[in-house]
Amino acid sequence: MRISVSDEKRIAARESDENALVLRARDSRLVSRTLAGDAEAFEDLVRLYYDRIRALVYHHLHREDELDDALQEIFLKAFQALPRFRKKSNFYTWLYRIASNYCIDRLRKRRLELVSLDSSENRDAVEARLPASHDSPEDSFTRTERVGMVRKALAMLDPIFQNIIVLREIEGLSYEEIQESLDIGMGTVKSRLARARAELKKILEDMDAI
Amino acid sequence: MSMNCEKCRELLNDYLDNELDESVFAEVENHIGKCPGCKAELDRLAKMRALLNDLKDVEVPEGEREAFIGALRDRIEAEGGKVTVVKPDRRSWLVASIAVVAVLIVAISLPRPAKENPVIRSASGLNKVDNAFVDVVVISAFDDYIISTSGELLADPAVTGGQAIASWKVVKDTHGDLFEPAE
Repeated sequence: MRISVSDEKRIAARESDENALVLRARDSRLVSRTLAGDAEAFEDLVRLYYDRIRALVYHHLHREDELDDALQEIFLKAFQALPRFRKKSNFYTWLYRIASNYCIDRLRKRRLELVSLDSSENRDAVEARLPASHDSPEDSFTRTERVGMVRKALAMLDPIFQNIIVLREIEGLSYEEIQESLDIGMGTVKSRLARARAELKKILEDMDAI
Repeated sequence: MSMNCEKCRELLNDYLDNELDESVFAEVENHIGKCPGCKAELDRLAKMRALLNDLKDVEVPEGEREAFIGALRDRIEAEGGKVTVVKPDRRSWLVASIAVVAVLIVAISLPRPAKENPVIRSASGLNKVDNAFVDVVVISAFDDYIISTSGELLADPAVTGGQAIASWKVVKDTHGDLFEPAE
């Protein structure tokens, strides 16, 4: 029997929902055990989400030397805020919120530091972030060069636009997960994402990257 | 819907995300097939997605995760976090503590005055307590937190005065062998 596209989507959605429930129950138990004084339970939570949060932070800050401090702050905040975590939300979207807020604050502080530079230094600092001009067609860029260009382009976005691009395009969160992570309405998710994509596309076009 | 370039370009991201209804998807696809400008725009968007996709794999160096956890543990302890290892005989302790298991009544919609250690003696169905209909739950008490056996943090008594919510069915399904309702 041929399954229609809509049936396939429904089946996939149901399997995804069931899987999400299992993971949510697992995380919920680990949170409860942590609150009961079980140190290993919190360490298990960190083990489960370290790689994803590390990737999220790296895609925002792009600095290996800042990673460890940032991750310490984020997981420490999560530990301290655990008593306020409500199981009606997913633990990982709650954790993404803490990480996103931290990264956006850090990026904003970085921008303020740039603005405080002398204007000529500021121009140099901005231009240093742009790739060298390239007369060859875009296809001649190596993969490494392309990755470098898109990182630079991301860094040029406003922090909240950078954040939503990272959550959706790199971390692969659904619209609902982004809504939960950022605690914003669905309309805001879609409009913010549309604007972020449009700005990123413009920057990449100016770089001849696409 | 009549598809023009402006409308098509608004929908291209949803098209790439496969978020469109089948009929709209077909209209966009049909338009792209006939419009070089929109096709070029789609190609640029797809290239942008591909570039972002290249950023996805960030390898974690071997040993880094465990080293981080060790450092985090030290930091939490240094900042006064409660970090104690649960004793191996915790399960038997929990079973033994059934005698002091408190059953909390939850007010679903009506505000209720805070109570210290409310105890409900019935185990199922709806009960009327303080003029509010509630679901009966079974929970266990750990230190200052009240945690349901389904794993939910139900109440911080300092904040809620002991009010919490869960369902007996969830408790029974997940941990029925550990807990029984108070008689």
